[in-house]
Amino acid sequence: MTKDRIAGVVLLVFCLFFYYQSKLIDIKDLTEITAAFFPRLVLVLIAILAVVLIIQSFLKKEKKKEEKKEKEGIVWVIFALLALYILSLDLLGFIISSFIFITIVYLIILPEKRPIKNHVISLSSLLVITIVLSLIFQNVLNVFLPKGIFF
Amino acid sequence: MENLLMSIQAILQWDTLLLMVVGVIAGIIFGCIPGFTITMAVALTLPFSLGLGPLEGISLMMGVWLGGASGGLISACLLGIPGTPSAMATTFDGYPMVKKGEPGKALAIGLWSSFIGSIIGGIVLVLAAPLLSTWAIKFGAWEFFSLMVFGLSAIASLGEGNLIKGLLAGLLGMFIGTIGTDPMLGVERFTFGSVEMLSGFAFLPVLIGVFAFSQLLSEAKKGKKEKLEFNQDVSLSYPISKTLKNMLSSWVNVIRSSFVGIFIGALPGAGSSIANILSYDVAKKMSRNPKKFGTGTQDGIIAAESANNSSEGGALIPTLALGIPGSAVTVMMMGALLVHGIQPGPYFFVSEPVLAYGIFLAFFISAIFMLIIQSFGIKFFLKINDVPMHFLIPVVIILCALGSFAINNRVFDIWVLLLFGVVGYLMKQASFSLAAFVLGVILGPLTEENLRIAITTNPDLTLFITRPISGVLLLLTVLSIVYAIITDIRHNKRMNTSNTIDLNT
Repeated sequence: MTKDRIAGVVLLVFCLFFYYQSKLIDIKDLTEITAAFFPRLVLVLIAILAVVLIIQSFLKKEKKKEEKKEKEGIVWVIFALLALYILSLDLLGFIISSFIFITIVYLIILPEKRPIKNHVISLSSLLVITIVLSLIFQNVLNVFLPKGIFF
Repeated sequence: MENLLMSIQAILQWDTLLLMVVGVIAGIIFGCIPGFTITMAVALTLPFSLGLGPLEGISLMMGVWLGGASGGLISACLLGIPGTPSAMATTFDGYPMVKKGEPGKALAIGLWSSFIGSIIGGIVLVLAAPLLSTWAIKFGAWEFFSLMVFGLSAIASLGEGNLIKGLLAGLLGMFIGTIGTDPMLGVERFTFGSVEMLSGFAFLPVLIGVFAFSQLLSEAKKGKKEKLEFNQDVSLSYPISKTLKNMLSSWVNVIRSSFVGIFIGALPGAGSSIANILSYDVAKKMSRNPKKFGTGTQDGIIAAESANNSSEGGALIPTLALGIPGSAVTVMMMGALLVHGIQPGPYFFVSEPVLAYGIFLAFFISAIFMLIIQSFGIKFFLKINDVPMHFLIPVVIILCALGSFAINNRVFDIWVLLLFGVVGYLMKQASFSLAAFVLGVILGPLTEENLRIAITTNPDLTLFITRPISGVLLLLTVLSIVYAIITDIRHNKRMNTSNTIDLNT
């Protein structure tokens, strides 16, 4: 399976799902075109192009790219961590959750392991930045950040 | 005239000027860090402008934008890697010149070229944008619909990458734009009964997710980057009088490159990252001694740097006058305008003249600040590159989350950030155009509205073709797609022949 073929299939499934969902749209017969018309038009166009993409993927030979040494897994770990972070916001509040979250991100993307001592300055600056940012947003920009249960 | 005076009065406030200074500094910092882009800088500073008035907010964003465009030249010249894609061609001659022992000259010429490019781009913007909008004010719903279809197809077909994927990305963006409440009748669409979804996805978390967050993760997985060293003791100063003398000796190149930049910028589908390379190419072909290019000639730096800055002035013309941005960065700037409640388009200059002139003034003032700040702060900006990536990434991630939260004060928008971070990342992996996707999200609702107004007014579909301007725009749409198909076929042929050669050897 090439990347294009996967993308095409995913898009087709996406279109089928949302086309089915578009039947739930309340169609008031007031105007020439209903509220469901445009989304359906776009979905049909996507589906047609997705089929073209799939056909193309069979015709074209896949160019083999040399695999770069990249840590693909890290990206998904960060996505998962962000989800946990969002969930923790209401419980721990912005400052504590954010600091824990970015400390973990900092530690997992470190290129080489060094003694913890070397990271004290970096980590404390991360804490300071988190606090300063929350102060700017709360006091200057009037954004009310989640407080959590401790404050 | 009265409006102009009012704009001058509005913009010459201490806090507005200070905001532009801050914006320019932020822009240059993002510009000179390789891996961080101008688009990202605009996406991340946008939340800070939310609490400000429209003119103050847009002034800040102008500063970021112009600063970003010139910040790329610092690392391009001194380290040999472009700080942003728009400084790619600057490395061709900037780095050799530094290696020859003239870092001061390389930076000074790059900086002044950026400045003059910005000013020329700004002048053309001021002259052309209102003209274009007086012409476009006659547009009806048919013309607007065709214009948006053209804008989207152009960014998909003339931009980088595969045509089918570009169109798919644009359409997918349009579909995302339909989620929420329908613009005409107020009917719920694809909300799955959720209250938060009623207003659809807010632009800002979508933009930050696609352009900043997903971009950042591609940096995060790269792991260790090679340490780039630059001898800090070398003098970076170069007298202004000498710089200006050098520039004057290549004045034709300065002006030509600026106009190449403006033209490329104004075209849909291309921006500063294409303008600098094309302009370098033009300068090399027109030069009397093309062999000097690549060895550290000042003309190479001038061509690249004046074009990438002037292209921003050019790119603002269709963005402000028609409401159709042509590249990723202008899509972001359009998002910035929309977030501040400004709808760019033909009526913009008539309904908000003070604001419009204010934007022009902010453009020029930011250019001046960029020149001053970068002249004095180069050593500082160079130091930024010493800050390790594993420290910058967590900071920027927090900025992403904060910025998304700030738009509506709700945690839901951070989920939107996560969703579009994942979507943007996957699309980038499969090489779908992110710019086309985001343009689809922004233009989708407007396209639908105009289509429905047009058909409600007159159900005759042939009007889209028989109304002259609408017809021409749709013809251009077809042409841009045909052009993309032809280049695609040619490209494949070339790839196939080169493959067979590889097999034989």
